[in-house]
Amino acid sequence: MWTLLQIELYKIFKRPRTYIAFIAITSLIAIVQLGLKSDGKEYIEFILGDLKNSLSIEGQILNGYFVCYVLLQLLLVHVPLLIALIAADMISGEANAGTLRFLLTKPISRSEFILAKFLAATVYTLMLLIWLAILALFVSMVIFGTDDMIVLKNGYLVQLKADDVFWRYIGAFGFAALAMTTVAALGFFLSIFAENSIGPIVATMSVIIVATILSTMSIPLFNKIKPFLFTTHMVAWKEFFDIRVDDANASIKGTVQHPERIIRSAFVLLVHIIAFVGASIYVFKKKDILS
Amino acid sequence: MPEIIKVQGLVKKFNDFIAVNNLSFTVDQGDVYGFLGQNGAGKSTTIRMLLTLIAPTEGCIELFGMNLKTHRNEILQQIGAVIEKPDVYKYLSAYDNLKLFARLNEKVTHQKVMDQLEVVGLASRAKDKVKTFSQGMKQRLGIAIALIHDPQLIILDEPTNGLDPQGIADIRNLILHLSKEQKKTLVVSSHLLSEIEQVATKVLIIDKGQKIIEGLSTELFDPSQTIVELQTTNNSFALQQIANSTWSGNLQQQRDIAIVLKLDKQQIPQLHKDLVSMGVGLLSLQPRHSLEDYFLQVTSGNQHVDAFTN
Repeated sequence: MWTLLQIELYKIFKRPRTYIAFIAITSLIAIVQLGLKSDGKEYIEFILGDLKNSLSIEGQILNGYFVCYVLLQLLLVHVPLLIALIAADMISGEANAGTLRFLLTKPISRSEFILAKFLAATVYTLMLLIWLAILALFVSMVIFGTDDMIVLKNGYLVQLKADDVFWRYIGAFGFAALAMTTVAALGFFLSIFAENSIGPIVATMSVIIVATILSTMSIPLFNKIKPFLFTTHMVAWKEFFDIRVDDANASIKGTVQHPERIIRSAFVLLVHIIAFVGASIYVFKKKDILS
Repeated sequence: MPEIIKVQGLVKKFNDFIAVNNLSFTVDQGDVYGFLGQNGAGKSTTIRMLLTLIAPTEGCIELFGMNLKTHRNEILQQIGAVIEKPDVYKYLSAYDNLKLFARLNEKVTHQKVMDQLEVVGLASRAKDKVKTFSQGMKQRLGIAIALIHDPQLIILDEPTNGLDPQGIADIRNLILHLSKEQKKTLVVSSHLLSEIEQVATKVLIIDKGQKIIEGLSTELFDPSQTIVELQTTNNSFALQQIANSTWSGNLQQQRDIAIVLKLDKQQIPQLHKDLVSMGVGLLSLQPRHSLEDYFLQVTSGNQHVDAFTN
């Protein structure tokens, strides 16, 4: 199993296509950071809107923590496409290249083969998120400095002390890893049915788009299925940036407002991952390799 | 000789289409087993079932005395295979590809990889990316991948497809080397009888998924079963002359544009001499093995040729 995983990782990181995602993320983050560095104050005024007239805010709102939050909101919508590029190609790409039949004549079980491939796709996903964290959080901290963090929620403003933010990002990135692994599992599952990569990549994105629309539309018919859609739970990383308050309406350091939401969403995503990977193993074990 | 492959009552259906129909055969240790059939006859499907790429609908496959279903990995450890064209990772070098596939069987040393590339004549291109390789070079790399773990059984599905004459000769020599020098058992499929004839010790012909004939090459390619096709300036005159000569017993049939005789290969020079002395205007004299005739007739859906079955 370890040998198989090593081989799969070797193949992924030897392929030029893999680095498209890293280059894309680097470019996007650099553009946003450059934009905020030059016109950040106007941006802050724009998002605060009328609040700036009723609040007196001291300190540096445009800091590394705030920039990272803006970047995550922007990028975590697009990262699934970059993950689908690799995950949805894991099996279909081998079938298309004709290497699948060569691999499966070797003494490795199909279950092990699928698990190794999925783990490799997961490692790729984690690497992508680590790269995202390095650029979005650490580089932003260097460029913009650190201070208390302001997060604008629906109808209220959350202020997080500077020394109470970093752990939240660790939690948020950890949760994002789970959400993106779900996308990888979906793309991986779809790749079993095709003999070229385009189909599963497009299908993965289509499923995500449709499910996201269903998750965000407030129509009674869709409300019943919303709790079961993984897209509903993918945005739960934002819960890390909502703090609990005491009776005097003072923030309690080191807390989140709704930890149960994070746990529930993580559970739903985990169930999706297990279901997609389990289905992949089941289907692939029965599949005739005709490519 | 112990049986390496034993197939009994093998059936593969794709919905209503029967690709392989009740196929049984055995391959003994040391055989070069020629698997013959037209494109779509069921050769590749059968080979894929031997390699667990396709699950049989019915039937039993045993390799090395073990059931393929229950001892899959143990069996595949002893097999090296190239299915149709050997596709490898084009963005990797020959060395990296060989090492990568070899690791799926066992750990390999740098020296072993280089030695194997030397055997197939690719050592000088070891570090070049496969996307720069010709079809023949890819084929040789595929064979190196199949052989690096020193398997007992080697399965080559249409190994000469897409190769130039030199490439075909190289593969043929390699098969003979593996069989005679290294005492390997080989299953080689092809739709070309001439290829199989030169290397196989045993032959199985299948058509529409069914066994047509199986036998030793020494029997099936018996030189006394040579068919000679004559084309003359006047076939009626030639036929009359042959019927009145000592060759009348060899006469088989007259086709639209040719006269057919069955004889020993050694008699061909004498036949040629006699036809000239009879005044037959000979346009061509084409020896064809009776099995080739049989193969072409059967696999194109016609009746058996009398020359073979008589």
